[in-house]
Amino acid sequence: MQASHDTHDHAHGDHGDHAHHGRAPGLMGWFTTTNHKDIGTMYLWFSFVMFLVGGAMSLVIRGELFAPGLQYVSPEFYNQMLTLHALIMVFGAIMPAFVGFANWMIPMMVGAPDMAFARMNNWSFWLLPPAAILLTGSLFVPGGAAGTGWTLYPPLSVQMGLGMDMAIFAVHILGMSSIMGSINIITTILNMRAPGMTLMRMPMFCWTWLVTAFLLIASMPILAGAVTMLLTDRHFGTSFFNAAGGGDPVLFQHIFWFFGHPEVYIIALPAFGVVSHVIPAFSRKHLFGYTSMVYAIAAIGLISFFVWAHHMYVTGIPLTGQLYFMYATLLIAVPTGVKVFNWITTMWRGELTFETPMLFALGFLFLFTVGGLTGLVLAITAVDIQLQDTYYVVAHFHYVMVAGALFSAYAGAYFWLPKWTGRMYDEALGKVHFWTSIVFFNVAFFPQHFLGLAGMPRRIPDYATQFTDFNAVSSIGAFGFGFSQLIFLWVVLKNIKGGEAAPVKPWDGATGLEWTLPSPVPYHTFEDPPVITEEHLAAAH
Amino acid sequence: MSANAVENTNDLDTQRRNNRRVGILLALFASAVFVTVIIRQWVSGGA
Ligand SMILES: [Cu+2]
Repeated sequence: MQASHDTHDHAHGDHGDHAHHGRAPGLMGWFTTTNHKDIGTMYLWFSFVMFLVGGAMSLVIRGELFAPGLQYVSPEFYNQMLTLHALIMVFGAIMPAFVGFANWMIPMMVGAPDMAFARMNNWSFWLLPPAAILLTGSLFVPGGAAGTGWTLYPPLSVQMGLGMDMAIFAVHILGMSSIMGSINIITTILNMRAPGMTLMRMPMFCWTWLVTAFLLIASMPILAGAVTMLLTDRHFGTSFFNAAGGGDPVLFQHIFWFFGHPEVYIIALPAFGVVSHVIPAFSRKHLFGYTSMVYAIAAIGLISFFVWAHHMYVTGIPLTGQLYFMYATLLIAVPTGVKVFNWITTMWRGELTFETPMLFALGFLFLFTVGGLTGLVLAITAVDIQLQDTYYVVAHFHYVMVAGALFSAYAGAYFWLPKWTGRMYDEALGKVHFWTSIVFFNVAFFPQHFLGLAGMPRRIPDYATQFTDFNAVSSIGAFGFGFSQLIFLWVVLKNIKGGEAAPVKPWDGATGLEWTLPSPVPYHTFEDPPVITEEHLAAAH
Repeated sequence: MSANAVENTNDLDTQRRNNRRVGILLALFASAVFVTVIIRQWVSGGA
């Protein structure tokens, strides 16, 4: 299996120069690095900073909503906060977090020396800070930032000021970054697996990212097309969406959600992947139903392109259309149910222990199931017509996004942190982080179901007084949840500074190639392809 | 997708050629989706 060892002279010709020493010193090293571990680290730090920025914006929202009436911000600024909160959390925090995991882990999991296109990888990352500056900077231009909500619906998005152009440009840049990242991930997975690492033996995280990257490549250009048409409507006299010129605002909604629904799975699938590593490790069993897991991921990815108009039940689509989109949406529950079943069965009769990664994975499992269930409720047209644009929807997608994506990102971060830094994190602090997070999360978002059922509309800075109590509770939960996240920052900084040295495999139940490497992982790994043995395979069974 | 047996061997030239092929194909696909979305709306006159 081991290939002949003749690269070294070969490689030194052109790009082998960075293959045998580390990063250049200082800041310049981070600007020029092509190492997947460096780039993964940058993605993860960037996403955490953006998470704090977007989180601060959500606290402005929850501060304003603590009591009825207008207290702190104008309605216009409130709209800008909720728009930027969403754009920053989706495109700046969650997505880059999982691209960070992908960069760090995929080459190590498949036994590759780096990502397929190392220099493009550098570019993918460094496109992100300019986009973040455009988004946050748009707050300070005349008219302020985009206030349309992340969906950028016309006619408002055709009418707004410079802030809207900056948001459009930011979306273009973020889209380019995502597409380049996806090309890198697909090529790495398809072309650079070590001999013997066949597709159906690949760790589940790689599978989820393979499907996710295809979803990204198929859906991000659609969003880019939509905002490009917005841009030409705004500045170049076209009327794609401008009703005054014969265009159709609802057309934008169709295009946006044709991107927007797959986007949900772009976020959720890598989260599923992380959990599929953590749960087996702390159950000391192999993942149950590997093959069905792979097919479920592929099915979810495929169906996600055919359900978009469940976001548009009240736009006047025909009854047959409503019925089709209802049934198609409900169909997604089948592969998702397969996955939840497999995770639970993995734990069945396992030797369970509950370290922080496992706690976050279980938190994910419980809360994502709640969010999935309310998703089924909302998929039913007759119900959705009542609940459209209420806080029930806000509660639903925060259970999916925060509990689904954020909790599993934490599960992954605690799981792999010892491998990255070479030291164990503070387990007691990690547990405090988990318990404060899950309690405050539910305090913040569970009451929003009741608010929505009672008819409180979303995206409004003021509300009728009968909604006061649940809003106050929700705001207290949100502030508690927000400040709990600083515990994670503390854990990571403490871990970087010192701590007990981590063994090669700190979790006795963990499987996969990454756990054969020393802790911390050397700067270069698998420059020669590893020999894959049965015991390395996270996938086996 | 090329045969797995040749991947991550030390034949860097083959590796790079294969990677470039997949990368260009994917980039073309993304560009085609982008162009199609816009052209499709353009020729339909906003319907
Ligand atoms: Cu959807």
